[in-house]
Amino acid sequence: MPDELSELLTFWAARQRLTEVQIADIRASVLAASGEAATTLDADWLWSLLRPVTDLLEGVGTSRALRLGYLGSAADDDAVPFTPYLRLA
Amino acid sequence: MSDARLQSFDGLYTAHHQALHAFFLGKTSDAELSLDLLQDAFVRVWRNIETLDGLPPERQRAWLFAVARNLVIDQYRAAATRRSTAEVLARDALADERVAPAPDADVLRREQLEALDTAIRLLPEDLRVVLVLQTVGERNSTEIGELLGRPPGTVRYQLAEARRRLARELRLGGED
Repeated sequence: MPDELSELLTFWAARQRLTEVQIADIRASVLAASGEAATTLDADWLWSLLRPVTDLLEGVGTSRALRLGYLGSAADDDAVPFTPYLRLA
Repeated sequence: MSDARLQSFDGLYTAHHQALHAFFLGKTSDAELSLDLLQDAFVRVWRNIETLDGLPPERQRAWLFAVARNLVIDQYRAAATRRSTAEVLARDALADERVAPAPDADVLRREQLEALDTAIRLLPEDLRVVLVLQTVGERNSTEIGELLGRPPGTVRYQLAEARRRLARELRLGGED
């Protein structure tokens, strides 16, 4: 029968152990520190690299929204006096 | 990058990270530092993976724990020369956070766990390391003996002694 100390130790030990996230993080850090960052590529990271391309492929709505947003802001900008970045003498 | 190299590394990482972490935790009583040392140890594994790959498992383990012992010694030396008061305070604050309430722990249990944590920190290092390897590292006395180069009988005695001291410190019955 487990005594009170064993029970406490079991509980204490469980809180000290590495979590799955920590285990994965340390592995990734080791590989990164060893100049092997490429081995830690995951799908999300790779996907994020491709976003500009995939946005164009899948995002008619997205592109349209961007375009409308751009036009909308351009219309609002009409009220603001034009200030050139470069002033010619 | 070589898949075989990565596979070898992952094999060693999976087999040994838990025991190494427990070893560092037992040696230093410092959760954050243990993570740093664990990372350092496996950086060395990666750098020497070709050599390690050719060794039998028991020699791989011996190599790893020799590296771990050296890292702890280096850490002691470094700490003696450059650890500032601020770092100590920050680390203590982290340790306090670590014993912060668990969701399912009532107040009494929390106080007991804090007292246990303190009592474990106050154990002599030899006893603390075997206890943490057993509880956190989930290793039996034979395995701990192999890791530390001690006879299993000595480890069993040290485990019993550690528990006796903890029970006395926490005023728990059934351990004497």
